[in-house]
Amino acid sequence: MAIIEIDHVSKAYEVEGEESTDALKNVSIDIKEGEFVCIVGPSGCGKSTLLEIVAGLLNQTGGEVRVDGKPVKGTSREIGVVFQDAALYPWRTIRRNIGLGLELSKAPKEKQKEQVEKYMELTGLSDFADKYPSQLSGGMKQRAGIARALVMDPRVILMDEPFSALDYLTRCKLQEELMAIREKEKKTILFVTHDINEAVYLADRVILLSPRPSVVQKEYVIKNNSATRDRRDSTLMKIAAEISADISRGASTDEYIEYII
Amino acid sequence: MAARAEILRTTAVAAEEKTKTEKKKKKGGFTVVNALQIATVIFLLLYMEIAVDTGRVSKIFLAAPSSIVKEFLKIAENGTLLPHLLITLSEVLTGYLIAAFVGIIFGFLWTLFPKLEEYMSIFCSAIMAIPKVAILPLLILWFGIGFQSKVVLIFLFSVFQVLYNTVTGAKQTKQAYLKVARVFEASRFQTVIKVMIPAALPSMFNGLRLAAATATTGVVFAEMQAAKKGLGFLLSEAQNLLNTPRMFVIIILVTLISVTFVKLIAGIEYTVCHRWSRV
Repeated sequence: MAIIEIDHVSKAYEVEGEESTDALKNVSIDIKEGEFVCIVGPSGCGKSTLLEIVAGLLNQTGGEVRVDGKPVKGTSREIGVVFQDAALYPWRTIRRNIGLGLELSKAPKEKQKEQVEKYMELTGLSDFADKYPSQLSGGMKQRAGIARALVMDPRVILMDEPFSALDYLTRCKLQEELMAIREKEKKTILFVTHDINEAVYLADRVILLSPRPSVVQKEYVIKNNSATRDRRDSTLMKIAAEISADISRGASTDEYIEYII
Repeated sequence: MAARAEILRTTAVAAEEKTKTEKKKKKGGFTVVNALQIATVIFLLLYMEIAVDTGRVSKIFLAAPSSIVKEFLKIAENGTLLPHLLITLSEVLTGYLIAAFVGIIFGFLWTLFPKLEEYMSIFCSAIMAIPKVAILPLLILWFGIGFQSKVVLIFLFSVFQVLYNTVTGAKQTKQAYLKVARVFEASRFQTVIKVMIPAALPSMFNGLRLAAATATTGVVFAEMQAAKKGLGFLLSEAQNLLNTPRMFVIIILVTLISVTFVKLIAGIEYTVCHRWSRV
């Protein structure tokens, strides 16, 4: 049973005095509980737009998004979001940034403290609890961004190019940590990125969107045989090369390929 | 894990070292330029002294630094200065504090209820457009030549700066911050209190600093026009008596008050914001 159903979703932007432009056209994606899905595509293809629609931050102009069979109308507790450059509040300490969601939902103080401690521990931020975001490195900030989403215990986590601003080594480190967190917390993750290597390393399924108006161009299912993935695995490299070839070629739509690594 | 902690520690130490050296460079000790600056000031003061003493410049146009100090000590000791100084200070503080309070409260209310802003902003723009100096005669007619008219004038001088800077700051809250609030289903009230107002703090303090500078100017001007007390009154009286050293004393005093006031607000801003803002 799919936890997220993106059902023929379209998004058109009205620009005054001009014809409306389509950002997304009839995009349909089903995501199963516990699945890790990456959306890739050329920049400006509407990946982030799609993510914001699923998050309930934007309204689609056609189609429907359902979470657990219920149509998405605005934001909800079921869905956590990790933003591009963490978007932490600079006036709050890391501890209070991570606790933001619980504070806003007026959770009991005891529970707030407990949850925040737990996820600071999980993301390795305990030593930085009373620092301000400006005192932290990019990697640390994004760990806090992830912890802030996890604290609310959502069923689905949406991630909008969360590691794109980080240097290569930090990015790899955070990808590994994210895999570990996912293993432990059993979350469904929808992850937008323009980094193909990142997508094939993380995802159970990679969905390639075409340039505007975006449609689902191709799907690559990556089946795991071992518990952990090797970044330099030759099959993974091959898939990545294939995806990047498909992007430049503009492959025909609605293909579906399965790989086993 | 241990390796990561080690790396973090070394980077932290390196960063600290860097800021230390930067500070050293900034303080840098005494440079040739500093020496020239001080020499220039000494030269000017000496020139004033000699020019007036030798009669090359009339005592009416310029005061010798020594006579300025003498005049200051005289009016400080014989009790002429203090009552006027206190009056001016209390006028500035009262007007400024009311303006800051009203400006911040309405800045908050406008952010919370955009309809209120829509309704009020046209009236505010109209009042703001009037040169404050031009309505002073009316204020004196309505509130007399004493304390009240000055407080009202300072209020009008300052309140809009605080109000508009607060509102503008709140409106410029980063979209990403607002999205975070929406993801966590924050109410409108929570969004304003916990996101928009903190985001507006730097801009709000900017308004408070500007207002501090104009408030002092406003009060001295008003006292010069019509008053029986205050530094402005003392200044125009000195002018009528051709007491040039006293004029210098008061101008220097007013400048010091203005600078101290602005520094004070900047100090409050620092204690509130320095821990998180990059400035």
